[in-house]
Amino acid sequence: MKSSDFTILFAEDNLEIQKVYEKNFVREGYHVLLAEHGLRVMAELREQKVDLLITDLEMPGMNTLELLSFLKRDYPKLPVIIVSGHYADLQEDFLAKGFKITAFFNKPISVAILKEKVREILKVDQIQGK
Amino acid sequence: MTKKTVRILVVEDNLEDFEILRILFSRVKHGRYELKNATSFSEALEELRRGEHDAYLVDYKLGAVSGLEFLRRAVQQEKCEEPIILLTRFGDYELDIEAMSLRAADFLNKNKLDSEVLERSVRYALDRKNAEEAQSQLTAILEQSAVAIVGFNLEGKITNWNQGAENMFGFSINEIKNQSAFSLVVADQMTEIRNLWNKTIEMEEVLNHEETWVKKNGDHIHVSITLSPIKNRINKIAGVSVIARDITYRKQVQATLQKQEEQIRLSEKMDAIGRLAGGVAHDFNNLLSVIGGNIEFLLDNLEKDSAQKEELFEIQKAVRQGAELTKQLLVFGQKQVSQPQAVNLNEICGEMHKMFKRLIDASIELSITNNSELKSIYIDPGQIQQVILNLVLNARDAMPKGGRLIIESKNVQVGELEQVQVEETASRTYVHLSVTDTGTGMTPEVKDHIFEPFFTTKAEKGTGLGLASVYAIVKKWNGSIFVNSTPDVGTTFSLFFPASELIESSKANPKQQTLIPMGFETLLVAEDEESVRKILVRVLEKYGYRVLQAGHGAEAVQKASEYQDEIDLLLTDTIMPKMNGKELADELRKFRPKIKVIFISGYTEEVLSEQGILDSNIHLIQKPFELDFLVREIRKVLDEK
Repeated sequence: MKSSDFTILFAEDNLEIQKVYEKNFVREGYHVLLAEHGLRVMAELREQKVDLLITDLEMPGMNTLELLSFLKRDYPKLPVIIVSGHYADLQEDFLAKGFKITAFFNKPISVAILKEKVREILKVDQIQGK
Repeated sequence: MTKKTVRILVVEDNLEDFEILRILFSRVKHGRYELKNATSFSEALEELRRGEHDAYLVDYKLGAVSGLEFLRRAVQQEKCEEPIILLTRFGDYELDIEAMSLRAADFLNKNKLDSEVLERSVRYALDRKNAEEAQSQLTAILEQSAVAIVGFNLEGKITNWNQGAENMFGFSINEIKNQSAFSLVVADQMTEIRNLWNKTIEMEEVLNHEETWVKKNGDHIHVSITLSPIKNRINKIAGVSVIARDITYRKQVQATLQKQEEQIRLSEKMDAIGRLAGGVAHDFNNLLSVIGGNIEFLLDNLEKDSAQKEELFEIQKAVRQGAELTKQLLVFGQKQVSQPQAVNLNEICGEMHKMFKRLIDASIELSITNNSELKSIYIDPGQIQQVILNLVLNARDAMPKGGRLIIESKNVQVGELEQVQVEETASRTYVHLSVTDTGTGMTPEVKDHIFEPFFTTKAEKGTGLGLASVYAIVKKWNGSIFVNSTPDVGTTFSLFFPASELIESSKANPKQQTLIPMGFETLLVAEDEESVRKILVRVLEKYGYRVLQAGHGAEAVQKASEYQDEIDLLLTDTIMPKMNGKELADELRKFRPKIKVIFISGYTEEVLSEQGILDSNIHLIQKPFELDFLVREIRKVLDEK
């Protein structure tokens, strides 16, 4: 699959970090959507075809548990990567609660590692960089 | 002003003599008297017991018994306090002496009686009685007061020592009389006391002071004293009186309160710093993400051999270091998530024992005192290991020339130690863990700051987060932490945790029961499968290790040669392209002969031996393995001699 076949939604309230995501992933060929709060995440998911959600653990307007519950109900197949600002491996906690999380990273994020993970999840074998 | 009527009982069997006395008294100009006559011993005794008389006039000749007999009976048996004046017809010196020895107020010759003599004798007797009463009351006040009242002469020698003083200090008057005032005071307060003493005598001032005295049994006692100059009749200073009150209890209460206040202040301060640290760390992580993300973008844009890459790598390295720091800050800010369970400190210390041995020099004698009855505490096992490790490392660093390191754990009941604040939990039993060193100790100034993040006395060696995290962890689990330290003597950290009632529930879950020991060493992980390598690194870092990683043999050799400090162990995949695990281990041993090696392999030992990959000095972990098992094995190999 080509990277340009996929759309990634980044949920992140820090605009600088949004830009980092956008720059790096657009260059990789992905379609990039950005949401700065939880409600926007829901709206984007409804309006666009999204293949992967990468979300900050703490989003204004909707906490992680609410978001995960919503995803579980409406988008059970959507892969989710959580980026946490806290030094804690919460993945097990979430998994224990029955939520599906594809990957979990701590901030500060390494874009290189994130890109690699995305490729793995989406099974991208062809980067159509710009 | 009319004088009070003096009621006198005249014990006299001769009615004529009684009449004469009455006439004589009636002639007294400045007094009124009411006389009553008792004519026999028994009648007189009856009157005496009625106690209605101010004074007694007793004839020496009284029927079968003498007046002396009445006197004796009245004073000794009836405890008569009113004056008794004896009358006789013969002036007899010996009789006089005997009467006086029986505490007769006076002895009068009947033949020489007149109004004046009678009036004076009765008046003096009554005055004397009043004076004696006042005197004895004063003495009783002095003698029986619960405060210590001590009299000193001008040379500072003890002249008076009341019962209160005896009770308070244990010395009797005979033991202490003529001792110097300064022999009672602890040595280091001597100069101060001397100054006070001189001031009292020279300036004739009344002074108040708090000081420490030494009891007969050697114990110290805190007293609040008042020094007053004592003047004689001609208003010249003749000595000093000291009134001392025992304020030991007050001092104890004060000390306890002060300690609690300190704890509250510290805990408020740490809360504030913790919130600050958490907040800052969060924002910093975002900033580091932006910096790091942009560097990676730039790096991708640059030509492979661009000269600017090196600078960007430097920045990237700094970002990683920054990330490490924020990670620690978040730990301190209590943002980490933990998995508490019932934990026995005996087990934890047992698990960590080997690690301690490796950590501390042979010049430090380590003793771990276990208590078989020790209760469990409810805590995250990794976090309590981190706490103990930090305390042990600090103890070690405090003893560069060696010494003793004592780790002790025991149960304590609430009430045995007033330091433990119990209002936070309902537990009656606490587990007390103490880590003691005989090292350099701390000044009070240093002690005040040790729990603050970024406070360190280890110059560039310390992050200043060790004890801050210890504090945060102890507080998180409802514990208390205290530190006692004396410069050049040593330091004791005392931790109190509420005992857990959850022992049974932890046994119900055997998986939680065993602990995975942490480490601090540096490991080099060589694994070509990146996803596997990442998991390994993540897990090992979680258990405290510093991890260097390499994707193939050559990279591992390069990393090892660049790294400045010791690398304790190589964890390598056996089969890797180009350079296999055995070759890598051999290569590394050329310049790091002490490095320990663990192989991970999907092949059996047999196969590897046949191919000459395995030798006796190498440990093998077969795939697939559980991560817990791997961490344990690494610990085991590291702890081997």
